[in-house]
Amino acid sequence: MSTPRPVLVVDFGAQYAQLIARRVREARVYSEIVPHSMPVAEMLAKNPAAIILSGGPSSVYEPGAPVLDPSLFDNEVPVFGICYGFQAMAQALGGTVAHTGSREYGRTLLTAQGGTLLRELPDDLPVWMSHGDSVAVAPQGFAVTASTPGAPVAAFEDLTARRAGVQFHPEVAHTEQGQEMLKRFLYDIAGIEPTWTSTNIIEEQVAAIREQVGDKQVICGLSGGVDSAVAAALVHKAVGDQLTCIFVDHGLLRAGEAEQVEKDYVAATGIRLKVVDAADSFLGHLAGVTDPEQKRKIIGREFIRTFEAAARELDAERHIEFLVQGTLYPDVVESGGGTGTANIKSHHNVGGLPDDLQFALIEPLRTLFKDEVRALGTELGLPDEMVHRHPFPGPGLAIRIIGAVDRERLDLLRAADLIAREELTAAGLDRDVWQFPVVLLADVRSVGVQGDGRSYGHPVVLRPVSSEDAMTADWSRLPYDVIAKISTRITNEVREVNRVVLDVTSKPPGTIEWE
Amino acid sequence: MGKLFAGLLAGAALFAVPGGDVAMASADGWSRPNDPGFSTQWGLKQTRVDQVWNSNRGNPRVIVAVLDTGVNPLPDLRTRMLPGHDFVNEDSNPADDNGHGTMAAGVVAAGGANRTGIAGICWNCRILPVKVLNAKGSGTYTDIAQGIRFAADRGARVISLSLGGNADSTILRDAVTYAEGKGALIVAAAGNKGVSAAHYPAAIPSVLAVGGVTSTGARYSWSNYGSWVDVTAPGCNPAQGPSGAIGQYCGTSSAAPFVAGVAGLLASSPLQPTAGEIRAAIVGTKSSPSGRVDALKALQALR
Repeated sequence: MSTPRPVLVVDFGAQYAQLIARRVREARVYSEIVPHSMPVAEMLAKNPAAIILSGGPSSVYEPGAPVLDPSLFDNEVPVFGICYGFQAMAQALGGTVAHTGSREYGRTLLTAQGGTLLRELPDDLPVWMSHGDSVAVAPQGFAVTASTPGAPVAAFEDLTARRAGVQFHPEVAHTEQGQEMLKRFLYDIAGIEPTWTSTNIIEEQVAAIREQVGDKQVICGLSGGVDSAVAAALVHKAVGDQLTCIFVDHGLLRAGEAEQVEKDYVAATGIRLKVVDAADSFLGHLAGVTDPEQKRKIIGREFIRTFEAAARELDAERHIEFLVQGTLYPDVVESGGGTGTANIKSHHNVGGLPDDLQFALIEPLRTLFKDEVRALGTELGLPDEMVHRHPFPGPGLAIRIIGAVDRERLDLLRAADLIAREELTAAGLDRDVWQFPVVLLADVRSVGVQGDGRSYGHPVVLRPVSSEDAMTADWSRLPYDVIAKISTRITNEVREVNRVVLDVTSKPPGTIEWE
Repeated sequence: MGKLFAGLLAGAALFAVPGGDVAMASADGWSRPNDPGFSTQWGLKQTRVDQVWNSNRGNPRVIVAVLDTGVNPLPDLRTRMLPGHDFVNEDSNPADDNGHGTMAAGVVAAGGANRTGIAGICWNCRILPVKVLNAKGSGTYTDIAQGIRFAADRGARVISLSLGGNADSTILRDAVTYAEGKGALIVAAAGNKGVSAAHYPAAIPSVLAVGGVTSTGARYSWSNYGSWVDVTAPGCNPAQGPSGAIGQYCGTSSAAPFVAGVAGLLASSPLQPTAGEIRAAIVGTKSSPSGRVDALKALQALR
């Protein structure tokens, strides 16, 4: 597969690497994340257009702080150091990092003094700081271009060597003009052209898939989500009718989502779809199960089993060689492709197929971030509701019912969830909210008054969250009148629900989903 | 006519600079002063401030108040600085512990043709330093409002505010009304978020809201914009920092004192225009489509 020369984002382990990599892509430059433990020779073997050193520990003097191999600078690859990467770079190139032990955290005003990176930016620019020790003396050849009260050297650059660095975080939204600075490093200092666009991605992927598949047959699984929908649409664009998709309806989707796949998506793409209605089987296996991990396991197992049976049937009809998976770049990085970043949750994907049913994988989204996938989806003409659907867990509503899952409870939750979604859309807030789980506390009942009598019904929890990256999230400050409307409608329209509560926990410490 | 003459004489008396030199007009008249930073001050030519200098370099009767982080008495400023006030620390010493205010003051009124630093816009205007922002560059509306009233009471004709926030405020509006009642023109930065959302006090209708434009007249991406922005000015101007070193001073924080300086020149006119007339002249003669202030046209419009 032909990808352009990457900008490598070296992950020093503080969760900033993904965001930096995305910002680089937003600047229309292809980027990849690599672990800091990757040997320099291996990084260079990727023929990088530039290397960005990300944030990490608060100081290079912190015990166990990862060490930067100075041989990174024995060649001419442009380098940009951010926060920890800035300090590590200063130290490796012979500058001085002062062991002050003090901290600077949060929004700080930067005094910029020209240069290329900060050229003609406002003098009192708010930037986001999060560091302990600070660079006291820049390495030789570097011009210091900014300072803050807590960082006498807050930015430096060496245009000849095409290296620059900043103590603050240009990748976060709190830093004004941060994206502009990143662009200036990429375009003006590293000399990279902004050529990475969704049209390019489609053309490249279509060509690559055609070459990989030849005249063989391909299957894919659709989940109702944007990833599998875009992956399948890309493959369909490349090989047309050689692709057949399977949609396992496990009965755990939200109102209208199965129809969306079976009707709207098929109409938009012309993909041949095999629908397996497996709701009874899934619900049978889930009966009485309350433990969330157990639920996830059962659903995963049943999913594979069902998919397998359908795939076997198709394979008998037409011999199948390839399987499409909507794996995204963050999945690749999270599950061990990057650093030792812990594998937080086992992703529910079609995988682990038995030996007699082995397909070669096609993963056309493997190098992409979610927002890029959405852009592709739009460009490929997929239905808007599908492209901009909020992330939805693979196990579906099963993990939004706290307690055992059955058809009746699913119907309750589906009705409440639909109201929440409708009102959010009506208020025009879909894009302001990252995800909006509605959770049914199925084993809790509380007293209420509905109509003339007392009721004894279930509470539902509204969990709207806002997030840039899914790694961290904050509860969305929805307008009170929107919350009020949702609450009134749910308690009026959904039988058995007599109380609506709002979850006001950020992540961390709370996760987005309740299970 | 007598009035005009008096104005020029009063101005000439103030050209005495430390060391006993008396600055002289070069062969080009006053339009190319010998300050070392002058050659990099692209904004002066584009707004035709340099042409105004041939007839008007400001009058010491005109006081421009700089409400900011304070002002350091650099050689290029000190001779024209009045005793001010510090509303952050509640004392009478408005020293600059940040640098922002000193640069703003320099853009307004650094001495011209004195072989020092840069050339300010209104060389002979006097500067009233009022500290309302702390060392980090932030402050409260209460302090700012107090500073505005103080400046008006001390006779400031122009009040320059390189500051602002997202929220409208009665305290600010009342102070602005008070100062306008005393004849002051209030000039404020439009803000550096690159958005059209209102920024206060700039967005208070009677305040002259200033955005920042590049040397080609395009809006700097960081400059706020919108119908509430009354005029634009060069968004990057060389200025002396608190230690005297010349650096690029960018932002609407730089554009606002630029316009305040032009307003100071207009206020120095022997026609003695009111704040309202100055405002109308500046807004009515701005270049299209950039909205950039045209000092020469504005001065001519006073007639």
